[in-house]
Amino acid sequence: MNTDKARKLLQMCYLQAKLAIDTSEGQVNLITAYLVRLSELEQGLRVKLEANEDSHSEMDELRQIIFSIMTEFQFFDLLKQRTISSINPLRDWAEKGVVLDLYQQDFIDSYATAEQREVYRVLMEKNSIVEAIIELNIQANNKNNTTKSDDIEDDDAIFF
Amino acid sequence: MKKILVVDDAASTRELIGYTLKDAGYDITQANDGVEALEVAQNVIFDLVLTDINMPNMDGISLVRYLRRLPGYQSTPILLSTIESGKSIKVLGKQAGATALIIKPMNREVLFKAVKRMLG
Repeated sequence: MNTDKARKLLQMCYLQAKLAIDTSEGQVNLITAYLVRLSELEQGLRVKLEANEDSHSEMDELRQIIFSIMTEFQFFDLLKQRTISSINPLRDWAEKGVVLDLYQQDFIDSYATAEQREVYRVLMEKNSIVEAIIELNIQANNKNNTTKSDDIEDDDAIFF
Repeated sequence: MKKILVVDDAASTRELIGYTLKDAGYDITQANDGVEALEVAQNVIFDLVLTDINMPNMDGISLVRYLRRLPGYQSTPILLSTIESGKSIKVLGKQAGATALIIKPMNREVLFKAVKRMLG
């Protein structure tokens, strides 16, 4: 394969993933707008049903479900940042050529989460992607093993 | 009613925070990035600023630095939120003048507890 073709393929991989993320972000924003409307309706209903004590537990559950969906939707922010930091090197290689040694530190620097750094560490240690996936799946089943010592481990806010 | 400025480029996160804090009785204003937040903060003094770090146009760390130079924001509590769990981000946040840091994904209880502690 010649260099131009290889670069085009790298650009295509970047573009496909970038467009998928952009489209998904639009959908997530749309769902979020529906959720916001749902929460407004819930607040309106709560006022109307204030006197009806039988409905309080259902209203509380509805509110809890809305909170839970919004909380879970934070996955997209993580997914987006993780994907972007994975595809940006493809774009850079297409532009500058693949010189792995020069980019290795850039990889590590662009990995913002403990999970990303762990994937990097495991892949460097193992002989193949299959071995790395097995190891990472084992770790995923035992989350205590995935947090590295150089990461912030507090569940609460950290006050300076 | 205490006024809180919520800054995040992810609409779903902004709405989560907005919904949670509005429900707790706070007056919420949202901004999409640091530039928008700075414009809003020049006209309104907020009691607390909650900002994401990784944003386009102006990131959260730069926003903290700019806010600290604005009249009325020298001692305003600023809570950073980020998916970055490396210790270097904690150092950066502290140096910029932030008050605290919260790691995403955050849940309602952790967020509420942090805000309550900062606003008394």
